[in-house]
Amino acid sequence: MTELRHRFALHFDWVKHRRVIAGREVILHCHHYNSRIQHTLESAAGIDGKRIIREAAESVFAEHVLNALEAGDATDTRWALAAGLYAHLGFGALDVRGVATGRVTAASSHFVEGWNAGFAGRTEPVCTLTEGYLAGAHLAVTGETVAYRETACRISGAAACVFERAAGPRAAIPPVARALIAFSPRPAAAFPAPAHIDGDKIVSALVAMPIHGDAEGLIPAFGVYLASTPADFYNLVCIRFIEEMAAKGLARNAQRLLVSDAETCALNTFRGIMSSPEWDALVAPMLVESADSLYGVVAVSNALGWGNWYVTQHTPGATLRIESVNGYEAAGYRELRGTAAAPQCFMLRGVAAGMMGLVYGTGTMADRFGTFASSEAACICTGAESCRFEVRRA
Amino acid sequence: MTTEPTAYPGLPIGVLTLDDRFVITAVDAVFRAELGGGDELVGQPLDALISDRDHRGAVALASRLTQYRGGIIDLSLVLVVGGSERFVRMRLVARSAWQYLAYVEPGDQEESLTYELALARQRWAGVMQRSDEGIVLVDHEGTILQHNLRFFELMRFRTAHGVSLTESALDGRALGPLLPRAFDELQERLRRGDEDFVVRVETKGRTLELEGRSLRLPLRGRIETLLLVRDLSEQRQIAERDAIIQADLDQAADFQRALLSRMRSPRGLEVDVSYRPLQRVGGDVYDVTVLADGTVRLFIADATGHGVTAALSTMLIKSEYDAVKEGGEGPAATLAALNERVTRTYLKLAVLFTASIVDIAPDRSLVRYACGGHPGPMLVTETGVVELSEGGGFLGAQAGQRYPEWSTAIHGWRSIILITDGLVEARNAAGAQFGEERLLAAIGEADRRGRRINANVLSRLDAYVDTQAQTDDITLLTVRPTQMEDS
Ligand SMILES: [Zn+2]
Ligand SMILES: [Zn+2]
Repeated sequence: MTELRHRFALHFDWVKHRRVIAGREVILHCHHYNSRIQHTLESAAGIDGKRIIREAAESVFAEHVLNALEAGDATDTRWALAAGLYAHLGFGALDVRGVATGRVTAASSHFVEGWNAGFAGRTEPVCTLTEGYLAGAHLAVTGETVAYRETACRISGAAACVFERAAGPRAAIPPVARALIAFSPRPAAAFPAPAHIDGDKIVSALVAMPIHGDAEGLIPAFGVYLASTPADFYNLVCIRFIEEMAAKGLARNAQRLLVSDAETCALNTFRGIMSSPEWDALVAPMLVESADSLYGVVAVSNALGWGNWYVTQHTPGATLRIESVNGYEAAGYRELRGTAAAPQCFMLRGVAAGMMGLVYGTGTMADRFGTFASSEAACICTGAESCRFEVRRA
Repeated sequence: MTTEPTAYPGLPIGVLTLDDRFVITAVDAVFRAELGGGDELVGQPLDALISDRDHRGAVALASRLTQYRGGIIDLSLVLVVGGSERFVRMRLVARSAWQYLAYVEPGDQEESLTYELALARQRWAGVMQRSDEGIVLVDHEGTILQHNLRFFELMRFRTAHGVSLTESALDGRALGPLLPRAFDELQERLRRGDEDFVVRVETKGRTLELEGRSLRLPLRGRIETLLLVRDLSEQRQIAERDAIIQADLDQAADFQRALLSRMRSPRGLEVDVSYRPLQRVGGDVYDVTVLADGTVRLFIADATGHGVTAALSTMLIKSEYDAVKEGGEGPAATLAALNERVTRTYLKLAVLFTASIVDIAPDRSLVRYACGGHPGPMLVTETGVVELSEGGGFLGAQAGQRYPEWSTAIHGWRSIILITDGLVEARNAAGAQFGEERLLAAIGEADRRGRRINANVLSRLDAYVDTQAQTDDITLLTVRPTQMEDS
């Protein structure tokens, strides 16, 4: 596998602030966010949240795995690459030796670790994304459309997660349809630079760090489990969730939940980041005044592939205005659905509130949740040149 | 407009009828009478009624609605109806596949159970948050029900990869499997259901003391165990540090008294200061100076926190203020200069404070003032008491800050009063704040009856908070002309 690793080399696009692996834009998120949005989707009544996740993963990873393959790769090599990419992205360790007989196992899982660290009491299998990943990989490797189901999961005490191929072919999931959008983000130079925080230095250092799966296919870093997931996956999952809830009159409530998942994620993730050795070494020496923690967190987030955003107004403890010039939600929405009548960047909106709650709130993260309210006052999806978030005390 | 279904005669429970998309289709008479809303609510989605300020309530409702599979959704929320915010209990049920009913009951009357519950939760949260001890509640099966931040910090739960568990991952999880071997005795005590116990645990170079108390209900026996966790090694260090601090504190208290009491009233004005620090030394600071041109400059500041740290901050603030106060600048520029000095000199100390400067013109007919996160000054004239504008951000947080400045004519003025927020935020036994309205009333009353304002305000405050302990420093600085000017 080691000799194939170069196929997953990270390319960082400094203009768009995107991380690209095997030709696809990937987003770094932690187990908090991943398990929370999964929880939001799978617990919703009247829709099949697992199906949304599975189908999005299948269509996105069919393309992604195919990108990593080269003409002339033998079938074994192809499967090794599919498992290798999965591990490299931080989802866990797949054992594909039994794939010919329809059985794949996983001795470690980002989703299991994430749910265990973030929630209590789940017994139902939790590796829904993996089911879709395997179906997508199967399509890329063999050209056949099949389904995989997780029949045992480490979340409920099994020694390994087990995925079994369902008998017979089935209808294919249509490939992701994207429109090409001509859009050039506003340059960083258009925004005031914070006085003490050197954002580019932080981003450069983070980009140079080997943030990819370890021997277990996990990325425990900054006090969280990270994973690199294609932007398309998040966008498809969130857009479809909102659309299906809209059919029940609950679009706004669904959006509110996605915002609150992101807020919770920001509170936990950035707290993990701020108390990590990586932060102490890289960011702490630049901190001069209390607001610098906020600028530091923003700089770190600009290395995660979310796009880049800049603080344009900040009153410590009270208000924040932050502008995102190329958020992946806005870019994805434009590609997948075109323009919108209302703003669509629910993740960034929640993260903006969470960052303020973390830097200026008190008590447990549950106490801090909701202490700041965030709104998206302008959005690239509605034709604005950047997405603007306004945060104030609730 | 239909007003069915009828609610419960005599009970203040209004009913909203909703369609299958949670849009309001009817508002009953009780709702109209109790909450003031009416036909304008018809056609609105239910969640649109939630106040912007009740973010948690909105998220709770969103999560319950999207997960609704039958049963009763029971929540307390802040709604905006008839133009005003109301705290309500809302119970929502499906009446059929096409119709939902929301039973809405005002919860803002002091005698209502919803109000009491909300208040009790607030108090409990307050205790949990402020406790220096780790607190965790476990049920009879050893499942964690609730915990505070200190518990989370003291226990340092990690996964096999060193990733910290989330606080939300603790509630609802069994405590036992999270504990290393060192805690075996505690496990045994919990399993046996011991009434009250104290266990000491040596772990990773620390000594933790865990004190257990069982909570019982008359019919059901032991239902929960309350565990208090303290780090004894840390406490030993604190005790040693306290001895040193105490000595400093005695000195600081003397120094602070000297610092703040050197106050002579400028000619033609009478200055009255009342200062009640919470502990031996406080976090409030004030000053009255006559500038070269005869302007009388009042200054008041409130450092975050109380006790020693805040008191040290006040000394820094006072000495930095002394260095800038006669710099020939107006109030806002002087605050900005003060902020520059504090942020540049004491970066690492995190001296964070609110402040206000009020300049009374040499002819005493105009005031110019500026605020940084501090309550606005109060002005008493023959027509009554008004609180002047407030604004601006905290000082000490960030260099380069600007502060808003206002000026106002004060012909016929009787008093100007500066306060720190400990006054309006003082609470009575029910947890309700003294508040601005009571403050303004007490000032107005003193003025009408020719009493001293500070004394009257403080006696009203004492009567209001009754036996409740003071929770913050309180300062009142009142200035008035010695003889009333002819208008
Ligand atoms: Zn699993
Ligand atoms: Zn946007």
